[in-house]
Amino acid sequence: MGSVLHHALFAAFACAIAGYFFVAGNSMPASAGRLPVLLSVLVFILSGAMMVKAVRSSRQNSEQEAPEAARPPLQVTRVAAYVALIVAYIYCIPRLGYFIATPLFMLLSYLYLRALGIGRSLLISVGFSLFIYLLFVRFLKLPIPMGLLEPFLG
Amino acid sequence: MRHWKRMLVMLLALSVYLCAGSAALAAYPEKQITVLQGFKPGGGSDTLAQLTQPYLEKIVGQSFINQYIPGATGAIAWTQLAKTAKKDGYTLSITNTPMLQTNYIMNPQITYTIEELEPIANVVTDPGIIVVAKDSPFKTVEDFLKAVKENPGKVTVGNSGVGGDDFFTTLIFEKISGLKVQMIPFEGDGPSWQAAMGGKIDASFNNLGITYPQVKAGNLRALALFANERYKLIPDVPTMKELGYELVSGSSRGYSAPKGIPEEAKTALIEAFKKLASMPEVIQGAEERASILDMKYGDDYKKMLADQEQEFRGIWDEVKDEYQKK
Amino acid sequence: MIFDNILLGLTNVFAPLNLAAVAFGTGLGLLVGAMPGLSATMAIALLVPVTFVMRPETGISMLAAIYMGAMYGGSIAAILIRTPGTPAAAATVLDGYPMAQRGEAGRALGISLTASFVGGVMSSVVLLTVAPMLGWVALMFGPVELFAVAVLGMTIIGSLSQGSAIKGLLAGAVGLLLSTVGMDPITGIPRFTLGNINLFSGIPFTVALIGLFSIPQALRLIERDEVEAERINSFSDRILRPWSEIRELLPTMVRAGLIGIFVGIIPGTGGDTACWFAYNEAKRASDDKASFGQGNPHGIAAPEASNNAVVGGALVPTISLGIPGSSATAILLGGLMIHGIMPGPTLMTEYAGVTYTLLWAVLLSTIFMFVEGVIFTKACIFVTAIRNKTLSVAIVVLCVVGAFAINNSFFEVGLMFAFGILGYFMDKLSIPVAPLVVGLILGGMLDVSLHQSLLMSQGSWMIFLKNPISAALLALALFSLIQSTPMYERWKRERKARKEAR
Repeated sequence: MGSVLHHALFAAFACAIAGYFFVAGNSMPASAGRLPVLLSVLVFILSGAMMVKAVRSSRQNSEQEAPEAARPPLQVTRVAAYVALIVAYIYCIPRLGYFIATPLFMLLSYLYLRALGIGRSLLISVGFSLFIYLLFVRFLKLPIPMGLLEPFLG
Repeated sequence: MRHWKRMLVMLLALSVYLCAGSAALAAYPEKQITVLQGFKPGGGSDTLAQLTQPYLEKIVGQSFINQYIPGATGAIAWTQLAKTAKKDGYTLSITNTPMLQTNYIMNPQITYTIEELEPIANVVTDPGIIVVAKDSPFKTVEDFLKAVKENPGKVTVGNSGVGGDDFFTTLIFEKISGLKVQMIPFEGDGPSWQAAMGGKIDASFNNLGITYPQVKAGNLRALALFANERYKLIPDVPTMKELGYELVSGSSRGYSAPKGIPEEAKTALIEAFKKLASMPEVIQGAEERASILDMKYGDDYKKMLADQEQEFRGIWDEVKDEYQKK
Repeated sequence: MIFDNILLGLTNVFAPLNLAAVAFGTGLGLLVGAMPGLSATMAIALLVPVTFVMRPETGISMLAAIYMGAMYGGSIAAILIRTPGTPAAAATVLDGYPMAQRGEAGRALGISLTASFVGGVMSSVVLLTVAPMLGWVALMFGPVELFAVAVLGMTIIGSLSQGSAIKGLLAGAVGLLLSTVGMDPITGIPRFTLGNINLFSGIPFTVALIGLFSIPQALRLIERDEVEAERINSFSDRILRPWSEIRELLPTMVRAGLIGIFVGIIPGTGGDTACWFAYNEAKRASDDKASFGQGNPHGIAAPEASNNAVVGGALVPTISLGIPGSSATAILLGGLMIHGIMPGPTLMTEYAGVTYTLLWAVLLSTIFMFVEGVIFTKACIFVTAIRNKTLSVAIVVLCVVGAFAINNSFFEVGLMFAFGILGYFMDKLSIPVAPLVVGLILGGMLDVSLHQSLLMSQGSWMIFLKNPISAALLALALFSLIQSTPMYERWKRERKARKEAR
């Protein structure tokens, strides 16, 4: 598998963050920047070490590889679509209002994931949102954005 | 599979348990008033909320809901107040000086200014104080000043954090006296006086209301006040003014609304605070907390904030380069 | 005098209204704790205004009971859905979930409940008896000592990384690096904030925690088609554990309880720190280190005993000196002030009636926690029967609202999800998440206390060695660092072999 590639991507990601901290930290007063700069160097070194190790172990294990056989395959598209759905959900909350976005998100997710039938999906989505409304808004009085429902619930 | 049903029943049962009702009345205020708090619950602005809000609720007949939006020494809440809060008089915030002004004086990324606010009323002013541990060699403020003179830059003095009132008090002190101390910033007033009480630092520049219980119990010794006059509960503690240092400072807390709220709401709120200040329970409550009521309403409060802004800007411009040097 | 007060408190606490308040508070705490994102601190803060209408001792007892209940409640979510309900239950996830996955959810919850009970009782006894003497410990911890505590905490990263040292250390270093985001307390300069004022006070670690644990779990639950056998659905094992099992775990619980009390007393550190210290010590003391992370009962008992012990520990300086030992007790003090009671040394004298009622209420709440905990836990069984996909969506919704509730800000929701994605990829590459969390918790403390100490010493690092407490803690840190290296293990094995050969 692309284990080395995956590790390389993560190492690159860690190094990118550390690089930003390194550059920004060097332009700060010494007392503010010293520790972050030191830590970013540490991240560089450890990322490198992780890469070396990944390459080495992939050479050793290139033949024997089938630990996943027993389990159902990883559904990459499903995960990606689900993540996209969550992002859209978070994006929509301040715009549509929490209590429109939430049942909608739950309903769509259930239908997409084929977790439940339409009837149950609808019931759980609405029921769960109601529960959150009562707990967070009525009881704990959190300022959850109501959006379009503002005139009714606000 | 009936589990989803059981789950629903559970949720519904909980919902009934948690349900709470509320009623509404006419004329301002006709619904609850939200108070944005820029600090964590349990902090100084929370204390003020607890001193005033139960009584304000009685006066205006509406509940006050605290909304905690801590972060960036209050700047997140105040930015929200100035930029996005509805200008209907139902969103207020507790505004603390000097952080209200020093936030944007010190950080260009913080963009609100006091120009965008409608100051309603200042409620308390907590004067600065110098405290030391009970077993400290400094018995009086003269001992402290002498030590600072003899060891320039060596005596460690705690403050509540860069940009806070104690930080600026120390800077003004250094400027007026020509002396130099080693400033140690802490994350809040509490850690600063606790470090002094535990003998970790030589002294803490702090606030009267915060340290008073420990001073009263004898765990901390108060050396001097940064106030215009002595405080009646600790009459033996001199003010810096008496010693010839023109140094009056502290932190004030009051309530502000976003600029542009209806005139009716503004007058109603100011009236409510005027009533509040005359309530015996409030006066007594303030005394119990060693809080000094310092009521300033509307335009007076606005002027006070503007004057302070100018003062802090002047000091910060002077020391900025030295303090944040590379 | 003290004895009279203790008796007075005891008679007060059994007033029906106080009993009801403690029972209600504990129950609410269990519920709030079990909901990811809702913390005890938040619930206490929101209920403070409600206590205005109550008598001071009733109100404050209820608030303390919430704190106690939430500390156990947090482990329910940690064990059943691999999502810490409160930050103090983060370490419980490591062994609690694997045990539940084996089909022993009841056992895991039972151990957690028992440990919470032991920790709670230990700390309330300490609170009732020696609190006035222990209060001064809080003052002994200034910047220099806190730096040493943070360094000692760093060794936890090493210990959590065993097996894949490089990956663990990398995660820890990234956590430390991210903890430096925010306004530098020494110069006031905003660091690495990308000009966003939401980051000025740093990355709220509770937000990161929710993201790192919960979102990856939500994704894991849907990433494959469900195999019935893999689900936690057996709940046949009893929550009330047999004495033989408890006896074996008791030393771990007691040790963790002491750690919890101690960490609680130190101002500025609470359950979120204590659980990792306790987990680490349990692992260090164990002969079977490899089974930690695979569902070792000690790995559940330790963090759970410690986080409940924190409740009493944090109250020690709070009531004896008016110094809050944790963020939750800071709000508790606010709850006293609402009744005109000034937090400070007078709590033990002038307001002894209120204070000693509170102390008994803490003990009482551990008992209520145990009884209500058994019932509540059984009511939570339904979670194990929910299908993975259904559960996953609910977890996401709870995380979103929970992340929002922390600071009432949407920025945090986005941040939470970003950490969630990071956590998912780390999981796929088997990079442990726990070191990153520890780095985030301790990094800020390390940075601030280091600079404060150096300011105090005019730049001399010797200050850390001249101070006896910090020198001792640093020596301990060095020792445990050596202990976690492969060299030490080899040396130990060789020594053992030599002994046996003789």
